[in-house]
Amino acid sequence: MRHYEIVLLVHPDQSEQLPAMIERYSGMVTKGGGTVHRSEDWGRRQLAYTIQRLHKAHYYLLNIECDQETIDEMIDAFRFNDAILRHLLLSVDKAYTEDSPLKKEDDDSDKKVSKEDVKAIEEKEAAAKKEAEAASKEVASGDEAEETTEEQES
Amino acid sequence: MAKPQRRRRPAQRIISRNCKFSAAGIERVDYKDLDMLKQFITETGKIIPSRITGTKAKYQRQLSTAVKQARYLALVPYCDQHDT
Repeated sequence: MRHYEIVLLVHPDQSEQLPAMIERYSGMVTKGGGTVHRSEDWGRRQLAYTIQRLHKAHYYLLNIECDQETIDEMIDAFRFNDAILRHLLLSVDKAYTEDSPLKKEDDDSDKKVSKEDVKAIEEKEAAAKKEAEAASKEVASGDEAEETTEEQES
Repeated sequence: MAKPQRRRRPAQRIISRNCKFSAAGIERVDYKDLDMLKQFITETGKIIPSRITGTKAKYQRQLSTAVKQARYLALVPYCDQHDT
């Protein structure tokens, strides 16, 4: 029995399937008599460079303890899973159970992003309202036919 | 008559004589600690040599593998010319 650390990069469109995938893989580990020491979701992260023309990927970290057969089986499964863009397997000396620095960092960045997103959306909405008002004023001075087309567009 | 000096002085660089890893008492350099890794790579993505950063040889070896692992996972760029 050895300790392994696995990082998975999952296709962002398939990240809904990730919990099921993780369950399947941890099932494989426990079936082979091993244990899962750490199972950590880093969320969708910006990639430093494009992989398969993607700019974002869903990261997942696993720390497991299992035998050679099980790890071979898992790596095969990763290779044949189209949703997994990349995986990194490391053998480590002990069981790591504490949170990794990336998880904490990611939580913070998620909050920041969400706030910024909300602001951006509010600004967009305000701009759209202004435009709509301006358009309606213009339409009011114009013909009725134009008004209907404007409504359809908006 | 003094001979004109041939050797020029090397360009002044910020040279640290302290190893950050041994000062912090780090057991193993972690590829997941991006804030730490980014201190040891240039803007173009190269690993900064230990003669500049003052990192001990033991930790420089670990650092180089850690940076390479982070690069593979696209946590850190290989260079600054990736087509984005």
